Amino acid sequence: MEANSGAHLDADEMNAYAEGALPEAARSRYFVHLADCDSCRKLVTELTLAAAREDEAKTRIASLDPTPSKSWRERLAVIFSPAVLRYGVPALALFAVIIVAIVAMRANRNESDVVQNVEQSRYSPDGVVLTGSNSTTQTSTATGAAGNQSNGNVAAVGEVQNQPAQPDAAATPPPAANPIQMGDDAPVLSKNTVPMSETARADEAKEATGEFSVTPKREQPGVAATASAPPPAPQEAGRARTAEREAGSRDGREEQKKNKVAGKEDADEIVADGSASGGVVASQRVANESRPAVGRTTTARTAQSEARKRSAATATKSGPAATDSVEEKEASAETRSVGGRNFRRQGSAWVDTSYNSSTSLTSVARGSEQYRALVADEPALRAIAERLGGEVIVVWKRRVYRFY
Amino acid sequence: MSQTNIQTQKLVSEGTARLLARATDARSLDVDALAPRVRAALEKYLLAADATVPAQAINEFIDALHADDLCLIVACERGDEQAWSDLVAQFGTTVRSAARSASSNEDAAEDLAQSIWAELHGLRVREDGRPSGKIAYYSGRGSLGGWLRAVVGQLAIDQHRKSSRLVQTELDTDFDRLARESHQAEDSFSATQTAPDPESALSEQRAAIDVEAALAQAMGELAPEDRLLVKLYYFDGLRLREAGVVLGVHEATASRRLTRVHAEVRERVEAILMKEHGWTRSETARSLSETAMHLEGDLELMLTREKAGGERQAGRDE
Repeated sequence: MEANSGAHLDADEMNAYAEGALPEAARSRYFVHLADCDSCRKLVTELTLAAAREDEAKTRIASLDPTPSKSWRERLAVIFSPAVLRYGVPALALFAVIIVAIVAMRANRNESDVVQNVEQSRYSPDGVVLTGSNSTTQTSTATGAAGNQSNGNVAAVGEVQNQPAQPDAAATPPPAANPIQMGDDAPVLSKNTVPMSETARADEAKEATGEFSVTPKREQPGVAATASAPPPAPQEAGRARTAEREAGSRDGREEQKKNKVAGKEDADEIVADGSASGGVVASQRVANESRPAVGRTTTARTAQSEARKRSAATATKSGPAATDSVEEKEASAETRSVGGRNFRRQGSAWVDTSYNSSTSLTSVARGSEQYRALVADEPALRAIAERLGGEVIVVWKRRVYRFY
Repeated sequence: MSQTNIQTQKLVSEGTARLLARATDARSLDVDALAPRVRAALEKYLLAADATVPAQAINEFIDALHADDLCLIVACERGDEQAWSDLVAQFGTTVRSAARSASSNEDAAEDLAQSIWAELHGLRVREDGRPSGKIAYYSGRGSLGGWLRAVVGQLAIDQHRKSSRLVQTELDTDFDRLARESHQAEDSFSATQTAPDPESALSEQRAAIDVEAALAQAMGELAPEDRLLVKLYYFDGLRLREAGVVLGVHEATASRRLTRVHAEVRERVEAILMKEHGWTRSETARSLSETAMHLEGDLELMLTREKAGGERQAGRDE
């Protein structure tokens, strides 16, 4: 049989060539013809390129999708595969943490808003000016205050409202529930003066350090017991809010707002609360327990804000009148005598029993130059500062020092 | 080791039996029905070049045949109606798309497809086993779909040729171009003329002709594969990758080969010019660079001109 090199390629030969199905010998033969025959070469080229494209397409399809269809089970398995879990779960956890933090911060902010509002109303002309920060006692404080406050019933009501908000406050030690000790300035507790002194003290407290310690809630003598249900309630609510625990503060905030609306203020009760978040709120009770909810609320608020800035050392002694509960609380406070001075434990601070909030505080950090200079001149002071740890408020030679 | 006819037949029978066994649908064919077909394919592709083919090569050849496609086509040729309906069902689309790509419009494509089916029906088995139709038998070496596309393509070319009174084939085109080119060669070299005076121009023309002749000769001395590569790339305008596909080599291989071919051709052309045309080296260098400018378009021409054998020379005036 003749070689086909001279003759044109037939369809079968062309196809075999195009698909690479020719034996090598035959292929070489065809090269000769194809090199010289344009028509055959053209068709063979067409067929060969088409066959190659088809192969390429088939290969690509096969490599892309080995499993034609993925069942939903398989897809689910992919989602829960180790690789996905390894990165996905921590990411989700982190995300959740961030969300919680944002919510918490927002809650705090709202609380401070409330307090500010309260402060403003504090200085309202009508009613008793709420001095100091309103008592937004910590939740626990509020709870305690409920018992302490003369606005017992009211407080109770308020407390009840604040109960849910006060779980954290509960953390506050009972002493914190004690109203801020006004020191010996019982008169301060008078309607007019108390507020001022309270305010002053609150201011001083503010000036002091921001450290908050749980201080007993201060109860206005008059305010303590007589409060009608509504007023104390709001105040309590305020107090609770002052707690500055997020949970408590939120609820208290609402309460305070309500109180604020009322507008009238009773005697304040300074309640200093140490809250976990560091807000010592001195809630001041208006002497007049029957102050409107608003007043109390504002009081509480103010107290709260004040307390925040106030050092924990603002321990107030309840006034002579309604100091029963206060005294009960005070009685439970520690007292020490150092360097000829008597100190009462208030929260985490030692406060000179002769401390009068009307005197300005001088804060001195232990170890500072100021401190060294001071104790160099007054060795007794050093003894006090060294024997009593933490925050110490000392009345010394007409001045009040606050060591920290 | 050469195979006697009997031995070959035995191998064919055994191979056919294996083929039928691996077919999904043997279509009631038996070895006797299929064996002649297998034998024909064997002879066409394997034994034509070399009668002494080892048994293993024969076995491998037969085992590489497309069993199902072959059974289907043979059954069709034998008049199996079921096979025909299967063929239409499986490959109707293939034929239609091939006809469309080979035709200029829908009507022509439809006509072409109809012609194909008519031709296929004409594939009746004759007593002597030779095809009765124009279409060569499907051997089973390639796929049936590819074979159908090849059939469509060839039929399209035949129809195109028939449709014009003046049979225009690529061969004729070459002739025309040849005439044109030589005519141009005489008086259109002015574009590349560097010498201002007619004397130099004439000598340049002659030099160009010498170069072309030498080039054609050098091309003719190339291996068929190399020449095919040059044709694919320069004349057909294929990309290097495509030329590689047609040749069955990787693009990089095609590129290297082309570079080598260029170097070889140039060397050979210079040698021919100097040896057979008496050029000096300096003349060679100068002329080649000048001629190279219009060489690419004429490259095919060179190749065509030099081809001495084959159907091309029929009626061609050199």
